[in-house]
Amino acid sequence: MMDEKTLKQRVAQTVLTQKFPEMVGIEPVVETGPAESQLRALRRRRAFVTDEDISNVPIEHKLTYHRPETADQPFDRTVVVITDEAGTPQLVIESK
Amino acid sequence: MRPVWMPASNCLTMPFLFAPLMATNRMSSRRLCATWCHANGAKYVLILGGDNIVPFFRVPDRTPVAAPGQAILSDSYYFESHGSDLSHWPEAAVGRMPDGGDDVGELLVAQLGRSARAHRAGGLQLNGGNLGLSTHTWQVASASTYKRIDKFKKGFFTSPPIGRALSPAAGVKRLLDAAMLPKAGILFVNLHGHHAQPLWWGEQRVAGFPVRWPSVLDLKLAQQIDFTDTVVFCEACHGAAIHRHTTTSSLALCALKQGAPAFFGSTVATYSITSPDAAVHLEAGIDALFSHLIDQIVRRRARFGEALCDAKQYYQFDNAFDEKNGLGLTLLGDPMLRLGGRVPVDEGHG
Repeated sequence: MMDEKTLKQRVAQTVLTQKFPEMVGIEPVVETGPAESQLRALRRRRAFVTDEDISNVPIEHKLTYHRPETADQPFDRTVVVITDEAGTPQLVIESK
Repeated sequence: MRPVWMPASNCLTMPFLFAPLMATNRMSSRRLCATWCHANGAKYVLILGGDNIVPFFRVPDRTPVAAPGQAILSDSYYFESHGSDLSHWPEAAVGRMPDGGDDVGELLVAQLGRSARAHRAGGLQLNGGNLGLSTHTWQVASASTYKRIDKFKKGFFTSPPIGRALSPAAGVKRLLDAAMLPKAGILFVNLHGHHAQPLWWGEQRVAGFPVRWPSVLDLKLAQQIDFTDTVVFCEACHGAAIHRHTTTSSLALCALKQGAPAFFGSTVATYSITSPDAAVHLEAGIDALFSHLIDQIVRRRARFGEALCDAKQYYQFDNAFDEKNGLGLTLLGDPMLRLGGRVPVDEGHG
């Protein structure tokens, strides 16, 4: 599995510098686990989901960047980048 | 301590006496609410009063940015029996008419009167004037959703350039003023919001960097607007965060006081979801929820509460993030209301 430092660098290069440069330099919270959307789909299809089912769900990384409200920015902002196991960004989530 | 059952309309109203049970914020109160709906075949639930009277359910917020003990405030969470930690699945059309605090029930009575008038008229009669307000950065997603209100995008503006802080050098062409807001129309808002301040902002980015956040709508301006028969769809963060607020500290409550029969907004932060190549991803995120909701209400003439319930269920199929968007989205208004008039032939069921 990709190490955390490389993952953060990759997300910073591929997403943050282009879309959210103000978030570069913010330390993200990194969570790794089964892809949530696929886990949901699995639970919708089956009443009972085993540990084996869950272990077959691909891994995803979720990096959460939070920038509190400041004098320059009148409200706080959150950006979440979801990548696949290899660290390739899949979704970008942005607070309104 | 029983909810009031109105068999003629399949509607359950949650009066003040029911509040102490809901205030316990326990799973037992959820089960009881769901059971009441099932037992009475209730499709609609109208909650009377604000958070101080009938509290929102506090669902623990498990997102990494949440402060310890922070919760997602939700009405629809009371009325699901098949949901799970990973999927919110409301089963009743829920709406809330908040009270106005120390106004001796004035706001509540006004909302009930408005709602009764609209029902007698066969639904809310709109005059066709609409307004859409979006940040410059979210204009693609906003325009796509607004087309469900008006396919020619008449009355659609981005901020900047529209804004109250007029600066010709920065390209602001026109000020937003109270007269621009539609009376008996639809107001669509996709701007930045704040958890405590009654203010919505636009946003502009240059080379990716946010360069300014002009104020678009604040309390002073909202108090000048005639919201009579205007339905508000607000995607902003904390758009319907009415807890601990009054008509002088919340734009949502102010809009209701000024005559809005329905306000759709979130009690918490909202999230858009896009693909990394910046293409708009309308199948997920708050944009998808509103797009579906507006489609149901405007083009299919669904009742407001049903449309909201349907949008939340539909949202689950493509939800790629946490439950905040679905749980927090709230209808402040009568869940049985609908738009009047016929579905336009060229727009219906498209």
